[in-house]
Amino acid sequence: MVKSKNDLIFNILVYAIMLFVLLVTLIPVLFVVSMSFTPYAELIKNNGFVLIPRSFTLYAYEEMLQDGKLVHSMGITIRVTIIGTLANLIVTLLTAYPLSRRAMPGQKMLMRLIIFTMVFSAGTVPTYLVVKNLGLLNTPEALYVPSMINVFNLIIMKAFFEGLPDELFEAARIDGASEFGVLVRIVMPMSLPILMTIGMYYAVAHWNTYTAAILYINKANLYPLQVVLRDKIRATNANVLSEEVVPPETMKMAAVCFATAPIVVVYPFIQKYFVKGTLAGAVKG
Amino acid sequence: MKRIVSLLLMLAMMLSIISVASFAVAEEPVTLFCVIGKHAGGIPASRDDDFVYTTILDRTGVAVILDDLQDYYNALGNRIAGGEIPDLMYVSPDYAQQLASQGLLRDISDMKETATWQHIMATYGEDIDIPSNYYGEEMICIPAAMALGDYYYEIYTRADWNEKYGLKNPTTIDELYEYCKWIRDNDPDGNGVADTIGFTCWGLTGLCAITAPYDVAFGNYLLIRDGKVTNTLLQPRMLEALETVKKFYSEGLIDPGMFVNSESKATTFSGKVGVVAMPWSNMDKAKYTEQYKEVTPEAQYLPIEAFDAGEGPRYTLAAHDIYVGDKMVVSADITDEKYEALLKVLDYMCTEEGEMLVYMGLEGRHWEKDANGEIVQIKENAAETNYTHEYQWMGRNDARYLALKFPEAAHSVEWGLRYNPLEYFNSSVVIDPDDYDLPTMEDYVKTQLIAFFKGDRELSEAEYGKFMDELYNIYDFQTYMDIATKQLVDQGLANE
Amino acid sequence: MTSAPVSHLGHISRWERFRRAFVRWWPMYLMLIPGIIYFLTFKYAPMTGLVMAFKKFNVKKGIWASPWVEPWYKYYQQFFGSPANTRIIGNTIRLSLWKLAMGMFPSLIFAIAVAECKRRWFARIVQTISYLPHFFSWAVVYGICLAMLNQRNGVVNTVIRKLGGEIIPFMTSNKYFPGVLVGSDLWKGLGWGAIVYLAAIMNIDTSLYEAATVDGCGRFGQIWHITLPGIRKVFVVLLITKVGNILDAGFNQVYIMMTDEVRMSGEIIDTWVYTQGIGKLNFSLGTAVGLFKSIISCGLVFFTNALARKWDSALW
Repeated sequence: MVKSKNDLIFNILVYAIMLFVLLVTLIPVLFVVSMSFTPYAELIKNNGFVLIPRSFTLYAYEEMLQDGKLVHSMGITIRVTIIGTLANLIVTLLTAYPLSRRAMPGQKMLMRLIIFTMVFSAGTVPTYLVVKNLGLLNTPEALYVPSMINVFNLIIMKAFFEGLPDELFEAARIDGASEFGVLVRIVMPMSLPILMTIGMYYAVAHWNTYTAAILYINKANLYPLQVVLRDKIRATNANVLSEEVVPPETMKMAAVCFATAPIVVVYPFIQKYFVKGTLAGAVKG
Repeated sequence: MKRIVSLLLMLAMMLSIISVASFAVAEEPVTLFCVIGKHAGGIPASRDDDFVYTTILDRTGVAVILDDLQDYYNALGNRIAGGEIPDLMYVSPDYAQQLASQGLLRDISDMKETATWQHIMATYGEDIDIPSNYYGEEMICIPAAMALGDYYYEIYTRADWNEKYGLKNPTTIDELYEYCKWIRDNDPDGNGVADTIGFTCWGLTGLCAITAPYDVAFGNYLLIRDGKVTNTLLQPRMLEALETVKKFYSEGLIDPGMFVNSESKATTFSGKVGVVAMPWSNMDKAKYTEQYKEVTPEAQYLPIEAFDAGEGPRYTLAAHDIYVGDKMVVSADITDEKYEALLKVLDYMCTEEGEMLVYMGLEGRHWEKDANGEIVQIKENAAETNYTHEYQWMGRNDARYLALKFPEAAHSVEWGLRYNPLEYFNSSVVIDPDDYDLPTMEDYVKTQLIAFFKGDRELSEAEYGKFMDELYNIYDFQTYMDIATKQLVDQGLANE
Repeated sequence: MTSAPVSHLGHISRWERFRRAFVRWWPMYLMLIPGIIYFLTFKYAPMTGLVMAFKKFNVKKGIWASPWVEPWYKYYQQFFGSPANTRIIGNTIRLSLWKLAMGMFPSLIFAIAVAECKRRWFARIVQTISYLPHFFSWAVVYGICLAMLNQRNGVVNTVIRKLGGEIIPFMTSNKYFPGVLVGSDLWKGLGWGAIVYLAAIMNIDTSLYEAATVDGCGRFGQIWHITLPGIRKVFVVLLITKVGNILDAGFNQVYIMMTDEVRMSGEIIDTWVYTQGIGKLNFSLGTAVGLFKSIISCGLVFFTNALARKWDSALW
């Protein structure tokens, strides 16, 4: 096989693109990390950013942890992420599984009604009133109950179940297993990748939850991580308040690193699951 | 055996804790729920660490549950939409009017019959009882003495450079121009790189250091001249002011980062700026001084007099009515019991102890009296008091407060009060959004003025006239001026 | 597995059909209960609250007791009469279209590059890392943007300054802010967006490539003649979905990143509805505009889906 000049160019192009994406993704993250370890004085002095800080300091982190608010809010976020993800997964599974059975009367209508909620939303205030009437305001539950099922995730899971071979169900039925038995003993073990994937989606959504928090949480000591983080990052003296002390840039970056570290730590362990699951979902969806 | 004993001990301890806790719950204090959006130090995460809360509870038997909300007005609006209205809310005057128009606020005029009112007037001054506290006949805002934020702005130069290079502080705009040029060209920080900047300031408000001498500020500001309502945009020397700023800007004498407050501060702290127009609260607080001294140990910023452009020196913008500002309002749903409790708390805040508590903290821990009976801050614990202003419901006597709380900035605080301000009347006018879209107009004005002096838009009489035409024709400027004029005349501030 | 034969359906009563379905499927219906309750409570019940758009909502009276507005379209009049509306709608559509373009093509190119990369370990590493930003919150991305683009300490401006250029106020100028929004969206979604294309590429029959090679088709040719046609369907479906959601320009992102300086260029319908409707207590106005947006979006989605059906790639 003769390699033409064109193919050589093609290969160079492919690697150039890959390298470009790699650098563009990594460099900003590395800068943020390195900035959080740079002494603030050095940052100001150099009239801008320094590539490699001449000295290394944990000052920004100490200052940030001293405040206590970020750590406190992370505790709330961790709790909501764990409980919320489990609840989401169970309810989504219980809904997606029956809906994957096209023969079930009413399946089509239900699916339509569910998809309709994706394109037509009732708006913020009416939804807020419902949440309020249920007594969920200012409770951690407000952060996951109103978003119990994500329709996208539901569709992906349903598509996955539809892809399971019919013979499986037939065989189980002949053995006399109940529908719940089939779900728990046969379907669930086979759906581990998709459950992991959807679980990951939900977990990340909870970790990053922001809108629900500013809507339904009105108590400073119940704010989740992202709300406190955004406030820290945005802190600039907009109004002249004599008491205000604005955190230095390095501390903002320390807060960013602190809030992201758990995701980056967990990420390598679960990424092989979700890539598989997402690919499966993407094809079907 | 040991293990069992220790287990029993722990059990006993836990039981006693539980019994104490339940006992505390039994005599529940009256609770006032209160929201604020001031946000600076922030209230301690745990209520037990909040010494203002515990002291008020101890002295008055009232538990004041304060929440500083993120994203304040949106969060508050949300709560109001759901009917979860806090007992007390800290809001701006026009927001208070809007709440009152929906019948959400309690008329607190009956407070005037109480002894508490006498105490408030005695402690915080009679002049805090102003018209904007009222909605029609109803009094809706707890009167407050406001912070003098407008007077925090200072013009600083580098005293150490003046001394080292024999420079004289500029007193006129022309001298300022020469001064900035010298700073730009002569590398006063001696690092061999031409990176020094003549002038930076705290956004367009800080730019008043250059524009106020022309009787002009960049933005939509209502002025009264010879009893007539006018606007900075209509001022005779507007074009002159724009040309001056443009000259400074185009020659690189003004820091291009000045539009963003945090940027201009960082530029200043890098020790490369000659003249800085900035609130002292961003320069002279111990924490900030520490920051810039770390970069440039010899740096010394001292406030100077305002500049003159033919009409006498002038600096800063100041609202005509400094007592217009965010105030505490009371929910209409508040029970009589809670209302009584509120009066009790206000009364306590009028005592010397209470006033000092929300100013400075606790006697003996955060402040003490020296031999002459003067109040002195205890430096080591000062950081703990960085949130007490959240409890300053009736404001504060700012000149006294600032000198006490920020002794390191006393010189600048005093200096700021000396500037001759450009007095504007925007805050005395209430614009109903149904009548006029003010934010859109103000956005437009700001962007166009900036475009003029940055050179994005040609600066000439004709082009400025065209800009004003746009303002009248597209943004309905006349409607705004008519509304404003009528209100100011009605208040007796202007004749026409 | 199948329900009663179709021919019987005409003869049995409706009730009988329900009964049979229930007997056969009751465990399934049981499972559905939590989900149905969820959708009814949090999605359908609030829809009744939309009448607020036609009432002068008074907090004390609640939705139902609040009086109707005169005329019923008052809030629409107010919205369309204000000079803000063209700007906000314009911002929304412009931002959406840019995000659409920047969300689809770079991901497509990246996906092809990954698929064509012969060193699999390298491809896998790049792929894995490129997904990472998708998991960052917007608050974090905002922090990263500040680190990179700030006028003073930002990396980009530091480099520009070192090279002697004039610094660019990315985060605070109306000229650049939309670009920052689009750029950060691209950065966050580039790798993740490639997944769906990659899945489609993997589904292409490899024998097609072998045949092409035999025919003397170069690598560029293979992309043009095999890969691109192979993922056309996915591409069109995605495109249509995104066009349907054109009025959603990303509330979270804009809300978190927007400051007052860039409100002119950054304000979109969703953020406006939120700040006007809730922050400034114009609940009815906010709901009215939200309803308007929902109806238009809904119409768009159904229209585009019909279009997609025509292209033989219906969404559902």
